[in-house]
Amino acid sequence: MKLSLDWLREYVALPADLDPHQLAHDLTMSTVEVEGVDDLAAGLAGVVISEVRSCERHPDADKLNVCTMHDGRTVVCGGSNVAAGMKVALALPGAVVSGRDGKPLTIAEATVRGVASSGMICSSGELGLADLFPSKGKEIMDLTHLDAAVGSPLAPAIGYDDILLEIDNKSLTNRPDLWGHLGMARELAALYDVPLSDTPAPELPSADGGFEVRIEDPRCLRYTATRVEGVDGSAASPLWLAARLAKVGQRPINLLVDLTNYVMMSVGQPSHAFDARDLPERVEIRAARDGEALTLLDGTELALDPQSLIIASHEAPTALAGVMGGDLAVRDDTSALWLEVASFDHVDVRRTARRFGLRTESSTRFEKGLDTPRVEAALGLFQDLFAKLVPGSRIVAHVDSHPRPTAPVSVSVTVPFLHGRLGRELGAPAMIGLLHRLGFCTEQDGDALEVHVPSWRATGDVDLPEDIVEEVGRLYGFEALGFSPPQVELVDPVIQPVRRMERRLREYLAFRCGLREVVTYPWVSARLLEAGGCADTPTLGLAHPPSPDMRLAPSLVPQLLSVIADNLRYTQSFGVFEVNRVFHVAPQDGPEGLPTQPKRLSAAVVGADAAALFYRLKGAVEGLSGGVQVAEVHCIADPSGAPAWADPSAVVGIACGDTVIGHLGVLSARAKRLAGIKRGEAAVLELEVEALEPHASRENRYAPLPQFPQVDFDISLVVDRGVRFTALREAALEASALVLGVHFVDEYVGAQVPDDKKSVTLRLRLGAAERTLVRDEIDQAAAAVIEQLSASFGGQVRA
Amino acid sequence: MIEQLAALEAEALAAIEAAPTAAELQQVKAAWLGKKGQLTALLKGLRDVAPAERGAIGKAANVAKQRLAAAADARKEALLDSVSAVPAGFDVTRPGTQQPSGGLHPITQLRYDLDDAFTSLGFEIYDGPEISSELYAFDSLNFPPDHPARESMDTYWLEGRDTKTGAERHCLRPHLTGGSVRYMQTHEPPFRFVYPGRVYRNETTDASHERAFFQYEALIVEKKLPFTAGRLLVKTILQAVFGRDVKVRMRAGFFPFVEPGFEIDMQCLVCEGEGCSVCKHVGWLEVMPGGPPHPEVLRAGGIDPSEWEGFYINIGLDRLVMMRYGVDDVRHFHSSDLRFLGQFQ
Repeated sequence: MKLSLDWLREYVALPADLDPHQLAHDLTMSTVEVEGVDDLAAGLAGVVISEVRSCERHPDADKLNVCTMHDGRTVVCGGSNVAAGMKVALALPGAVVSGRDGKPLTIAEATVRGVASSGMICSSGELGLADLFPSKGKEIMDLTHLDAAVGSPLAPAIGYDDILLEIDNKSLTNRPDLWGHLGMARELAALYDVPLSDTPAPELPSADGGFEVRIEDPRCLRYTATRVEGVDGSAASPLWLAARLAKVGQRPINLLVDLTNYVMMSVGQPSHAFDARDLPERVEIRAARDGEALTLLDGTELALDPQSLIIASHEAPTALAGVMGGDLAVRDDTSALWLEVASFDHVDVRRTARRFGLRTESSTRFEKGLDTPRVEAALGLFQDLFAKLVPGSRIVAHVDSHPRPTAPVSVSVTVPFLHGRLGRELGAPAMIGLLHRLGFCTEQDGDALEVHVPSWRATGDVDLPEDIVEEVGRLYGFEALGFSPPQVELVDPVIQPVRRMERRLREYLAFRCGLREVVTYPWVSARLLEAGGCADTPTLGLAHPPSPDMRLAPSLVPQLLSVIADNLRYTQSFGVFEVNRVFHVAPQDGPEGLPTQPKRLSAAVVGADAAALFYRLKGAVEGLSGGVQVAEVHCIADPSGAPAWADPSAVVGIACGDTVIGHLGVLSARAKRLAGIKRGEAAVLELEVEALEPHASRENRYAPLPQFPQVDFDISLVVDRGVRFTALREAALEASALVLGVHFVDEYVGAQVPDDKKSVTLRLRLGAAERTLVRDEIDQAAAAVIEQLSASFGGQVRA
Repeated sequence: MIEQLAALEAEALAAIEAAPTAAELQQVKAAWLGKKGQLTALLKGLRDVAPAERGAIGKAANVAKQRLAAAADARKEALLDSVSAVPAGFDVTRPGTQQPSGGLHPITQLRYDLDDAFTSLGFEIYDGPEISSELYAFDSLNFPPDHPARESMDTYWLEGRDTKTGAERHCLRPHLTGGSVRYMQTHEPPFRFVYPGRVYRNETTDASHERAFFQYEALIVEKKLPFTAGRLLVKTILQAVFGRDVKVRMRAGFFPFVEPGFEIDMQCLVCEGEGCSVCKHVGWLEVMPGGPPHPEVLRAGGIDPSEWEGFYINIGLDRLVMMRYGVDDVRHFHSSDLRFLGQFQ
């Protein structure tokens, strides 16, 4: 919403030297967010009122004229209506106007087809004044009838020596009273403790003119109809009034319509002017009937239904209550009006506006909740304006039906309560003084305060003791209240193993395993779901998903595949992980029956060598228990229920005890194709984070160092490719009691061994707990191992 | 002959000292001290010396021999000590080997910084469901029945659930505050906890708007908690996270779940309040709403508002991270683009 400082000053005696930026800051701190302070005169700097003294055709251009201005300068002008004797707006060199593409254009001394031109005669569009001075085609702004001295600056002559405040509408949603200049002036009067000039009280005739207002629906809170005769539907507004409307973004139309808009922008109360001929006897405010239709002012046809509250005359809808009028409006030959100033239920107006997609200045105000006494303020201003601006107009009849007046609100608080909440003892007199400035009345009884809320704050805005804290605090200045240390009760130490585990998990993967954490959206496409092995998993959907085929992912793998595909465009080898929730259809226990939302870990390493990637990721899993301080986690071969994204020949289960909590595998060719991964290989894992069991504290125990030396020796053996390390290890351990450990060193497949064989190198650790081994024992143990392995696997063994 | 011996010794010493490698030293040693060495040859000439002088010269020759042997040993040790493990021309200017380039998401980093600050003040860390219901997302939080945020336009309601109401109308949580009601319902005050997480809004995305973004909520409930204490809490936390004095201002703002409500601004750390592109030339950044819980919210959490007071803060993590690093597009956070994420160590 835009507010004119000049307009505000009509109602509030602001200090003359108040810097508009200070005002914007003060309002922002205490009331609403001011997003911008626009100095309109600065925007028109260097634009003066001039007169065309002579105007001759340009010697070299048909559509250009060479004009001599009031000060003797020459200006080349392309305006279609330029003529000698015309008063015009002249932008002098240095002035900035709006160029053809809307971008700022700085006027400079120029030569136009050989003729020197010292300035520009402006169209209204070039000065951002198109609403105020409508024009056609290439017309320049004709100011001949403007009562202002030639040579003087344009801005003051048209009421643009003004500052506009741009208010963030979101910050105004809870303050229906501020949706107009009078309301904001009232706020400023309180802020600066200066006087407010309210609108005059209306003095309306008691005669009803035989007119009937029939309210048939509780959604109408109040309806007044005021008959004004002796008006002229064709009259235009005076410049000052049109300028005020144009400045705040309301296009001037004609005097009668402008008056309703002016009153709305002043007191925040919408109204509607009907030609009296369209409401001959009465109005009905009722629910529309099925099948009824209404053509709006802007030509839109609405099909109405009983949800819609309408204003009807003679059985025909004439307006959508509180939102927009029908096409029967004020016309050029209008001479008498029925002026509607009414109040409607705010929830209903919001629903109607939303249902029909019609957000108007009127509905925006009504939906905030307007108090019914505001109708009087609007009528008082109307009466004043008609008297001043429409000579010969007479208010001859007035009907006021007021079934649901805004209920008075009062709030009981105590002085200690206010002090306690504010954190500072301001004292009862100071707090009462602040409340009075804001229009509240108070009754004090010792420490008890009964605070009566003014009607303009009583439609849901202020009704709690906490609201009174806010009013006192913000007017005193929240910043001025200072700081105080919180008084908190000492509580037990916070021990949260699960939270700590989650953090260690992320840090382990990032810093120990060298993976990069990513965060993906919870919704994925059907294609990725299939690639991620979730084609047959039931999924949850959104009523309005970001794109039509998006579903909530039951696994993190589909998103991970897209992360792999995306990053392969820039880099060839990388590692990523994500810890996030996934969403399953099965409901949880509890009254809401929310979907199950387990937390998962997904990770991938991407590069050229699938086997190496698999073992790298497997290493990360095998180091998890120590790195994250959780109960033992291991991999199991030949897992059941291996995921569809995994290559069946390179997949393991991840288990915690006997429970499988996830899988790790090389990404299958099919998954790669479906996910659009065209090159590179990847190893992927996914596991249930909540299945990891964090230790309460660090659990690993000290093992005494061996008292006697241990020896390592390597053996290599050539075996069938299908022989597994675990089988070799078992056999080696069984071969001799002196074998304390069997470690994998290397594996070779290639030209040096037959096609169906591989060479495996193992490192055996030999030792005894109670003595140092002698050479013979070592040799015997090695021989036993070699014999056992040869016997079991038929391999050639060399130590 | 004594003179001859002295000259020979001096020459040999010089040759030993000059030997550049162990192998050449060996040759030098042989050339002087070996069977066919010069010193040996000289000593062979003793036969021709008068017997009276022979003893003295012989003694001197042995001393010289010992000295030369010692010099050769010392030279050998010096040469072995200075052997290099790297080849000649080793290039120390080459870049070091890169470490595995893992790291945490920048949002996680700030989240953990906040966790550290809050847990040092005895706050608990809470976690709740991301799919919640209208009961917690709106009803418990004093949102009026017709509040626009309840409409499909703003909230991601679940398919098939969007026409139901209350506990049966499920949505991706539009904010974290509903979760704090879950906490209140299951804990006895006084308490203080933080609640980090991702929230969702159905809106069009651009450089400053996202459908999924991160919040960090804190709630403290005590017998007494005046505004001035809440204000100090906010300042303390921001100071702990940014490691320096942070200017904070609190101004009137409206949010249904707090009463009174505040917009909490932090002076822009990039320009120190002078105005820059990060703060859109305002000098201040809106970082969080906050304020005491609305009495209806406390009631929804099973807490008597006449007995307990509290203070909420609800930090928008995305914006704070953007300021921390000068990030200009909020959409980067969900992009999973390693060229972006790789910048945060």
